[in-house]
Amino acid sequence: MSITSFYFLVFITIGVAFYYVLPKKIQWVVLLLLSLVFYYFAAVPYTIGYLAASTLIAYFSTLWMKRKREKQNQDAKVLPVTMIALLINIAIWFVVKGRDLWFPFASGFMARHDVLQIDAEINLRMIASLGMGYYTLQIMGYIIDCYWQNAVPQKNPLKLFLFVSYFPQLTTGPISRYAQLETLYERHKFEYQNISFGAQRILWGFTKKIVLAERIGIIVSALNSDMSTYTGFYSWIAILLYPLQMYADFSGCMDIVLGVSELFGIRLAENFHNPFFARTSQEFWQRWHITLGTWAKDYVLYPLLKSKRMIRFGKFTRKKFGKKAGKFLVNMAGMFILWMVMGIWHGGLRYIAGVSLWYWVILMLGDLFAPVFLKITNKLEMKTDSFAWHFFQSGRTYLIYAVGATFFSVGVTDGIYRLKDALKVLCVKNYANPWIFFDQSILNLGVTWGDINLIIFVSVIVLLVAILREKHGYARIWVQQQCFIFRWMIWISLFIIVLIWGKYGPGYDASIFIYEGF
Amino acid sequence: MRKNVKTIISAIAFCVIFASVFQYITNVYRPSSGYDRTHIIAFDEQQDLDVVYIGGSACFVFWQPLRAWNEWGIASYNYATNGLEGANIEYMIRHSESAMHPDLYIVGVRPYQLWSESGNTGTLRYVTDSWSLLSPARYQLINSFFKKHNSTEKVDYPSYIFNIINYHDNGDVLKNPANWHYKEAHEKAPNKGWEWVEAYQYLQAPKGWNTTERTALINGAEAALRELCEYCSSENLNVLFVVCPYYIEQEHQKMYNTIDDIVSEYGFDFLNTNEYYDEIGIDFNTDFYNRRHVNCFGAEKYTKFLGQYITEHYNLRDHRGEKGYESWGEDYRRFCSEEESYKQSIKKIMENDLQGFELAEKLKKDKDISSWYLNTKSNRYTLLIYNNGVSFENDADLEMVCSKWGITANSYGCNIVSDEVIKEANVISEELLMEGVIGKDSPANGVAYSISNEHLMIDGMDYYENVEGLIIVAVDNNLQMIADRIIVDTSSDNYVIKR
Repeated sequence: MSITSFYFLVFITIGVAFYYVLPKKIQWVVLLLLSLVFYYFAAVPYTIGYLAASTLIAYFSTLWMKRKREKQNQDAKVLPVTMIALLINIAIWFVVKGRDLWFPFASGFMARHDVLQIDAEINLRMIASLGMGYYTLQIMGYIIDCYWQNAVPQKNPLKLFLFVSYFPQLTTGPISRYAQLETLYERHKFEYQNISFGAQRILWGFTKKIVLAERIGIIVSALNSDMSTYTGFYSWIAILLYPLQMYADFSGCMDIVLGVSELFGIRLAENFHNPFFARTSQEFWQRWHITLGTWAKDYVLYPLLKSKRMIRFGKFTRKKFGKKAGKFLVNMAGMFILWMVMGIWHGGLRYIAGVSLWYWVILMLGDLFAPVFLKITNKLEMKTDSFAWHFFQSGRTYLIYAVGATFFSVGVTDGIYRLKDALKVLCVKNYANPWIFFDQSILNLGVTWGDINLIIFVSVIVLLVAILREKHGYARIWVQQQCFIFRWMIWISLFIIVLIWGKYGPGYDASIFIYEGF
Repeated sequence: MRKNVKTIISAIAFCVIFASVFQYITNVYRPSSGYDRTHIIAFDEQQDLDVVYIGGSACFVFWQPLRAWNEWGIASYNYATNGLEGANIEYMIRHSESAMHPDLYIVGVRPYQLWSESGNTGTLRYVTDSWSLLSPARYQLINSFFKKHNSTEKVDYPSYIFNIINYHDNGDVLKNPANWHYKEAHEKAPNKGWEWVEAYQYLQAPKGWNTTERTALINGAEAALRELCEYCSSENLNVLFVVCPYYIEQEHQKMYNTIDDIVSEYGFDFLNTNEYYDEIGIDFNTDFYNRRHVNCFGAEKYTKFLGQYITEHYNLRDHRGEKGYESWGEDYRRFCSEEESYKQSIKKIMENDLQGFELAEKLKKDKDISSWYLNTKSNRYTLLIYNNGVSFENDADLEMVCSKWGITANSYGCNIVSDEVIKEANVISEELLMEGVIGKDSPANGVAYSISNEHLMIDGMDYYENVEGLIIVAVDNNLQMIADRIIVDTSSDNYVIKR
């Protein structure tokens, strides 16, 4: 049962009805049962054991911490237990989900055996659970919060299990904090606004996912399937369209997830805030997959920078290279670890290349040459507060992301091939093939002019919504302020767009989200 | 409180608009033309019918409602779709009963004889996609249909329930004005569900089919039939189960005997019109367009016979001259002018086919292979060639021999069998297994053939003969008959034709 399926819509309709009809004190039980039902139909059922294991580890370790602190005041003994609990969670994730990171090396050791057979056996036994990457970070955050005493350990293991398995966020996150999700256990009364806002957000998510992302996906998949044929400007199309596809896919999924949760009166953390409006790559990552970035900062970067070893390293570098360079080197080391964590979490070399290394290099170079860029802009008397300058900055940020996303999309080797080919358009004489935009060649990519027009049309709507969001917090807040005829027209038009132009039904599979695999 | 009431009212209003838009878009995108859909769509527009005739094509090309109107003043309608499955019938009656209470339901029972164990979902779509989304019978039928059949694939229920899921990517329908006026269904079935077919086939009356033996119905068919009878019985409905005249086989008759037993158990009448060829006046030489269906000449006779039967056995009122039925007379006049035109066309086809018999006779007298081949080289014939005695190692050798008679490389060597190719009068030659259908419109109506080692099967007959040389059978595509069969002795250079 995918969250874009008809059955899911029926499931949440029934779920919401039960949630509000049954006594409020058992609302959290209803959510837990719904989560179990969802898991049963959406994933390999027995893999729920992984979630249960993570929950039990967190439950016992945090309660043990609490007891040690309360009764024996033995704070020193708490750290090893915290570390063990965290390491077990990391180990489970690494063995099951991060298989791509270790199996190629492990198979080298096992060369004497039938590697393929071992691979098959391991695959069979280690089907990862749904949303493992997301809930592992979530439960680790909970353990750390308890260790830091930012959270009170949950005494009811079933409630803690609900925190881990809350069904809307199992597909693609967001990575919630325990403090944010304590609202799961609260009583929620029926509010019309929650239902209407939730439904609106789900509809908007469907528009982005099954109208826009799936259509762009056809073009990108066709281009990626035959890179040697689709060269020149085709490479540029693939490079520039993939980020848009990924955004529509991932943020569309998040809209559905957040909308579903809103139906139950539970607000989940936002994962996107108009990332393509970002003017720098640093800002981009504050607007893209926000919960992953903040998790990594809060639980990896800041503790790291505050650690004794890092402080010692900072002192050493400042002494050796001077104040400015010393600070830069400490920052560089911290950021390297941060980005490696982000890349490794995605679970493969292509992600380490496309996310970790690429962004680490870009951000460090940006930091290093910031004074130079500032001098140049001043010298050229650039109007840095003008729309044109902002547009240029956002375009540059988009392009930087597009380059990284190319590795994400096709892997390291093919990514390099694709990028080299795109550069040839600019550097090699007569290599460019601009006629493909005019001679119907694009129609060979599996789309019609109607599809292309629709991509443009929906992209413009996405842009308008983004502008409204910048100005009003949420576009729907602005819509709500309009007269009811206009308001209804908007939602019904959106519904018609999804109904008619959505890629769903027999022959389509829009059930897979790009970020579902993590 | 006031705010709450306002919110509730606006929420309800929004949901109503939302649902209406959904229904309208669903209607626009549903296929709305063709004889498989239009009779079902237009049924909801019918009022005050006396007789509802339910069945497959064996209904809408057999019963002429407007003729019945003219003869007896009966308001009837062919509630039918192509290849209807038995599982649909009970729910079609339920759907009908939700809107009207006709005096008589006539149920064609061929759908039970043609029952498919895996279920023909196409016919389910024809019916359920043509009903309103709000029809309860629709949901009952979808549910019941898949319970009665063993579908090998996972059933995509949502696409049956909300069929926009199935059709939404078919943007071409937007070019069709009929789709934008889906509701104006009365235009879709001007002849009350009767369908004109401009075709003809010469047949000879079936022989040896009649028997008193019984055979079990295919799994599921009997249960569906019993459920239908139980429903009709509980609702006190008048139902007549009929078998229309066609090229019946003994195995079919055994099933019809079983069906007769079942419906009689529930006190319903059963009429196998195949037992009344003389009374109907049906002539297999002139009244059919294929083995399963009559042309309009046959339909006229069938309607007169069945109309007479039901007016004698059931209490049906004559509505001629009554208020509210004025349009029926006008419709009948239009029907007559259409009929005249169709009858003329069919007569022409008939003449052409008669010419085929003459040509076949001529062909049978031909003793020279080259002239024989020249006479068969037209769209009228398909040649099936079987080479025997290992005279040719490969197709090139065979081609060389054939070229001596004028059979060229272009016309020879067709290994791909399709209706299109066959109609081109190509030559089919294959030593290994090869099968297909030579026919006019569908495999059910065509002549089946298969070529394998030591078998040249055409329409159930084996034309293989253990002689060295080529066996060539000329099949008349129009008549769907073997025009001639020759054996060419290729062991000598003379290539003598034997028959």
